[in-house]
Amino acid sequence: MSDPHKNGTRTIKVDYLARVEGEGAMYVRIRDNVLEDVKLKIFEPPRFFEGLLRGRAFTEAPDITSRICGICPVAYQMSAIHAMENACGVRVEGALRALRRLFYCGEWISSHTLHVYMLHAPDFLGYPSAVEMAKDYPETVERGLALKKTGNDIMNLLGGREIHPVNARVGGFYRVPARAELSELREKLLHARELALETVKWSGALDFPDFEQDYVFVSLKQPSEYPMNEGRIVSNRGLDIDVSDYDAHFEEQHVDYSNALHCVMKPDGLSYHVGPMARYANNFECLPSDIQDVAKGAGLARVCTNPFQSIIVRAVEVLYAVTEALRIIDAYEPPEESSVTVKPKAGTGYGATEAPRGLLYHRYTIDADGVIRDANIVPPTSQNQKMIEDDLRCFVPTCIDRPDEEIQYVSEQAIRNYDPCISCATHFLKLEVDRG
Amino acid sequence: MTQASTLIVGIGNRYRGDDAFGCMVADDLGPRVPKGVKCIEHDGEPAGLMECWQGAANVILIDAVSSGAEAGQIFHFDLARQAMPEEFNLYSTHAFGVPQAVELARALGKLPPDIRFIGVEGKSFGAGEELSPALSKQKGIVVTEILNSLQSQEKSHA
Repeated sequence: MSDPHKNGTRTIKVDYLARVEGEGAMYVRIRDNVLEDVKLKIFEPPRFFEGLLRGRAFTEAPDITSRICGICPVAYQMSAIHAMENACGVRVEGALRALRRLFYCGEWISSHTLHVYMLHAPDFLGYPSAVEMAKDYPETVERGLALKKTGNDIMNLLGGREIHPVNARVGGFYRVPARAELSELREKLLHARELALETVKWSGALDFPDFEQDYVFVSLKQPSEYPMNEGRIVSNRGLDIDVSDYDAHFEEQHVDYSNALHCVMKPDGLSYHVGPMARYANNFECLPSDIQDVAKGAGLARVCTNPFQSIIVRAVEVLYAVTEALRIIDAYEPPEESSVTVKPKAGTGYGATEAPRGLLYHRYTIDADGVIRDANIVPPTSQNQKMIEDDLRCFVPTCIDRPDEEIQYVSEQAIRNYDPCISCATHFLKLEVDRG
Repeated sequence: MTQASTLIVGIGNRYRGDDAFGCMVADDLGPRVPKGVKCIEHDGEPAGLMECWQGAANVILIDAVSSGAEAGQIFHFDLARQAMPEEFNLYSTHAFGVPQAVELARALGKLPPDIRFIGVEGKSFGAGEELSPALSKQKGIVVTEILNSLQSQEKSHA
C-alpha cells in the first residue's frame, strides 16, 4: 500500500512474513531519500523446545528436535546426536558415519532444490510463484522436482520417511540399508547428477544485482572433507575453535522488536554469515576439482560475496551432495551393528552440523542417568537475522529511487538469499508505505 | 506412482493434533475399499505427492484445513475443475504444500483427470495432541461418504 510522500519520509512495512516455519515482518524507513532504519521482526511465539527437552531422556533429543523444522529435520537430528555422543564420550566411525553423511546429502539435495527452483527462481525470472513460472518454464520446474525427489528418496531410505525421519538414533541408526537398497538409489543419483550439473549452469545464467558485501563467513571446516556433520568452527577472519568453545565466541541477544534471538560475535557484537556461501568460502579447496571447475564455469569466484549469487552456490552444493552420495554408496559395506552402544555419562555435550541454511549448534547437559538437565539450540536463521538486516541496510540505498513496490520486491528477494525459515510467506506480504 | 485406477490419499502428520485427520481416515478406509482402490497415507510433500498420483485416473485427497471456519466443517473441491480457494493456501512447509502441488501439476499437465479434495476444518494442530472431538465425529462421516462414492463408481462401471 502506498501513501503520498509526506515530509520526505517513506516507511516500507512488510507486515506478515510467514505462515508455518515462523511469522515475521520487515520494516524499512526512508527519510529524505536516505535509509534511516531496517528491522527484520520475527514475532513467532517462542517454541520452548529447549524447555521441553529438560527432564527427557538423552536418547529422545533427536526425535524431539527433528520436529522443530519440516525442511531440515536431519540437521536437528544430527546436531542432537553428535552433542549427546560428545557428552557420553563416544565417536561413531566407519560405515555408520558414512551413512549419516549420506543422510545429510539427501537433506541438502531436497532442501536446496526446493529453495533454488520453487522459492528463489521465481524472483529472478519475474514470477509471483513457481506455479506461474511452471507455465512458461515447465522443463525447468520438472528438473527441480526430479532432483528434489532424489533427495527425498535418500531421506526416506535412511530416515524411514522424508519429513521428520525416525530412523536415526544416538549411536547410529535403528536399521541400516542393505547394499541392494543403495544400488537402487545409485541409479537415481546418476540421473540426478546430470540434473544437478544442468542446475549449476542454469543458475549461473540468471541476472544478478550488482551487490557485494564484505562478510565474516562462519562455518565448520575439516582438513579434507566438505563439512556436513562435524568439524571445527572457523571464519574467514582467522577464527578456528572447537565446537565446545562456541558460547565463548558467539552470543544470542534479545532485541525488543523480535521474538527470535539475534546472534552476534563476541566481543564486538558484529553480525556474521552462515550458510552455503560461508561453507563454500571456507571449504572451496575440499570440493572435487571437477566441481570447482563447474562452479567457476557458472561465474563463481573462489569466494562469493554477492548474496544474490547464493542460488549458484546452493546449486554447486547440490551437485556436490549428489556426487558425495554416489561416492558413499560405491564404498558402502554394511556395518555389523546398526548402532554402537552409548551409555549415559554426566556432563555437557556439544554438537554443530551444517544444516542447509548454515551452522546449527546444540548443547546439552545430562546427568548420570541420561536425563537432560539443560539444552541450548542455536539455529542458522537466528545467526543470519542480523546479517539479513545489514544486507538490507546496504542494499536498499542502491535502489532507493525506485518505486516502493520495487523496493519491496527486491528486498524480499534479498531476504530469500538466506533461505530463512521465515521466507515462506514473503510472496503474500502486505506493503504499507507511510510517507510521514 | 500407482498402478491402481483409484487412489485415496490421507494427508497429514499423526503427531500434530487434527492434522492426523487424513491419516486416520486412510486407516479406516484401508481394509474396506474395493479391489483396485489403493489407500495410502502421505505427509503432503509436493514432489512426492505429485509422484504418488501419477497413473491414477481417480484421486481423492483428504486433509485437515485451517480456513477460519468452524471446527469440523467439511469442504469439497473438485480440483480437476477448480483451484483451492486462497484461504486454504495457508499451512504448508515453506509455503509449498498440497494446493501448490495441485496447481503445479495442473500447470505441467500432470493432474489426474478426476481429483477431488475433502477437507475438514481443524481446531488444534499442536505437537503431540490427539484429534479434537469435533473431528473425531466427522471421521466416520467422511469414511462413509467415500465408501458410498466408491460403491456408486463401481455400479456405474458395472
